[in-house]
Amino acid sequence: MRRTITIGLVSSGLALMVIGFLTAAPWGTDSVDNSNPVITGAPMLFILGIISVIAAAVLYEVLPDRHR
Amino acid sequence: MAVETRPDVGLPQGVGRLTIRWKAFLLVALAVLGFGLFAYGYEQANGMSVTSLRSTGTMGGATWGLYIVMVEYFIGVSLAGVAIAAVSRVFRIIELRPIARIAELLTVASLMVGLIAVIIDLGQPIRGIKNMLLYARPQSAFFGTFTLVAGGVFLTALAYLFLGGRRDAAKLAEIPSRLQWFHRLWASGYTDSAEERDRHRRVMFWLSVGIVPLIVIALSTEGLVFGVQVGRPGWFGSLQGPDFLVLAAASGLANLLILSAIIRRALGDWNRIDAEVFKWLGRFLLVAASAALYFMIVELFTLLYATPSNERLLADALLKGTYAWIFWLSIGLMTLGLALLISQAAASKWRIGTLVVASVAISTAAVAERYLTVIPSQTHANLLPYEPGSYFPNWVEFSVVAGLFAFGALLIGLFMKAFPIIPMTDALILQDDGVEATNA
Amino acid sequence: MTKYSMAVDLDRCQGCRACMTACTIENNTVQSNHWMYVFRFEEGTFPETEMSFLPRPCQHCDNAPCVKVCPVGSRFKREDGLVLTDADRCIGCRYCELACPYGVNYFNWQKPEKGQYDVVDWKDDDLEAVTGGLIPPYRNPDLDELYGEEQRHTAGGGHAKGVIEKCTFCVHRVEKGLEPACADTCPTNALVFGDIDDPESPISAYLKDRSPWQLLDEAGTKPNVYYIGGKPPNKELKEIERPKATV
Repeated sequence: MRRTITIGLVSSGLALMVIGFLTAAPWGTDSVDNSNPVITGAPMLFILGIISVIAAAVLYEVLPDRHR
Repeated sequence: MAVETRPDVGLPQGVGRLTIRWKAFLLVALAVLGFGLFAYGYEQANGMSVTSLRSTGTMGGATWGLYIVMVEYFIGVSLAGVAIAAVSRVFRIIELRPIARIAELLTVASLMVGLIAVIIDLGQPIRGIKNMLLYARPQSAFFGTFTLVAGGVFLTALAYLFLGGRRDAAKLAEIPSRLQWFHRLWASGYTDSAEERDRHRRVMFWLSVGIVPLIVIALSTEGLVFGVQVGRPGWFGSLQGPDFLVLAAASGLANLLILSAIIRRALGDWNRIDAEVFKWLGRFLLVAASAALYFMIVELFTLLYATPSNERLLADALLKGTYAWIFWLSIGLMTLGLALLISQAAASKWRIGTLVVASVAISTAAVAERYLTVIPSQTHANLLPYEPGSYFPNWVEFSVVAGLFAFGALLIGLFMKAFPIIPMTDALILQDDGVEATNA
Repeated sequence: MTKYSMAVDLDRCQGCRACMTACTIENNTVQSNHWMYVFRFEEGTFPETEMSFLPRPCQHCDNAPCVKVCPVGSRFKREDGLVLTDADRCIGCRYCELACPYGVNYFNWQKPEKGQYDVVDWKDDDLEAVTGGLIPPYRNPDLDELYGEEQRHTAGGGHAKGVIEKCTFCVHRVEKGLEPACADTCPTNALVFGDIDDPESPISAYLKDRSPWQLLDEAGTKPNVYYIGGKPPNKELKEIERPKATV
């Protein structure tokens, strides 16, 4: 369980960071489009990704053992 | 779990005991913070026109001033704290164990203060927070400050502090006190079982491995804020990133040393920071300050050869003009600090008082150096022939910055009254040593 | 495709700074903020001196450093070449100001209305008899409209404390088919505005047989303001008669 949650949080965090980074700017476009993220709030996804990865480390250690 | 306590004082290291000296510190820190808040309030009510900041070019001012200087300084200081904590774990430098938590706390406090300084410098602070979350652009160098520094490094340092303190918290939670709830909360169910220790060791190792490259990348983006500017002589260049890191290491270690010395005195009988710690810090600082001085001398020689253009104008302002006194002061202080360190290294005698003097000199030199990075390129290096400008911070800016220092000191001071600043035990190192002892 | 540009004929400019005043009035900017600025230079030693002038609007660069560094996309470049600032999105970090090698960005250091028209004492009895106490006298409603496909708040100045503003090539006038206030006002027609991609436009016709140069070409910003005559500024030039208004 602990392992599943940790791996889940780390991978979803990394995925969020990639998605956030790619959608924070329409890479390769010029002009007005370049000043708006593809999805408004994409930078928040990036930050959530970072939080998720760090939370994985914390939860890995803090989650109580099953036998208790 | 047994913990060394004294029946007359309850919790170790003066935790929960508000002494007269501490109350006096609290009063002074709150007064300075209060005045800083007043100055910021005054600035918000009247606009940033009450500071010495002005637009570059026709207004002949500097649009980034003391606030940004302090942003660079505080974020720089944060580097050493968590780096020392990580390095001491990865390389198992047991001698540094007593200051691991001070280092982590210094990182958290200086990053908090540095990031608040960023917000303070914004013309639209509330909109700044909102719009960075909604629209921050990865193409801008600020993205690194916003995501990697504010998100990555800060949260990792907090996680470090929290996880590293759970074992102590669990021990403290057994002692009846007003803070028992807090210690229970921090312990978050920690029982000190073999599995928990093993897990803790694994997590701390991976956090340490992860944070060192993260902090290097994150702090390099601070240098890049200046390094990618083609339109401003003195800024554009690939050295801004490494230069930022080197000075960050020197100023961070210097502050860690000063803070450790202050805490050493403040703890009195509880002190467990021995001379060995300062010997290590002194050695690290010697290396970092040498590298910082090397960068400063390289910069000086490059300035001497500046061609007769904007670079020359900037060089003249630094070497013999408006900024000469700050420039030579920074080189002088860095040299003095280094000389004190070298003399101690040569004699193999590390005196804490001398180390503190060296650290104060190096830390002040770092502030001066950051000032010289940020300001002169704005007032004396415009590419169009605007008249050279001028900038020197006024009382509003000094008061706000003093308030920031006071806030940082308050964070550390309050922490010391809620939790032992020196680790009572350290699961990782104890297990490696096979030693089971408490170090309250 | 449309690409708005400006030609500045330095052989015609007489340094009267009428364009600066026209800009300030049209855009409701603070007195000390010179979106259009005219350098007055002196070269040589008295009595062997020579005066020259250099109007400096925003260069509306194709490779604009200010657009690149803006952390929130408040500064952007439109399809038609205009480099504009969204007054509602700007967070006031002033990074664009430092990135720009031309010094065209101005920050509102205080509430804009405090610095507008401050060269005149509006409490003066004689003046109040004329204005009837209406201070400030007039704000062009066009400045509060949203423009372009992007529909963003970009026209004019004096919007809010703590944001950056700069020359917009008078986007609110250009959208109506008019030329910027500075070009419209210039008594010697030293400023020529238009679509440089249209061979029939006034600016294309003006530049056709001339050899224009660009300001700080070496910075690689690809500016859209073309200078004719005169010579690029150098460090031998001494700036004289700087405007007095301060924040």
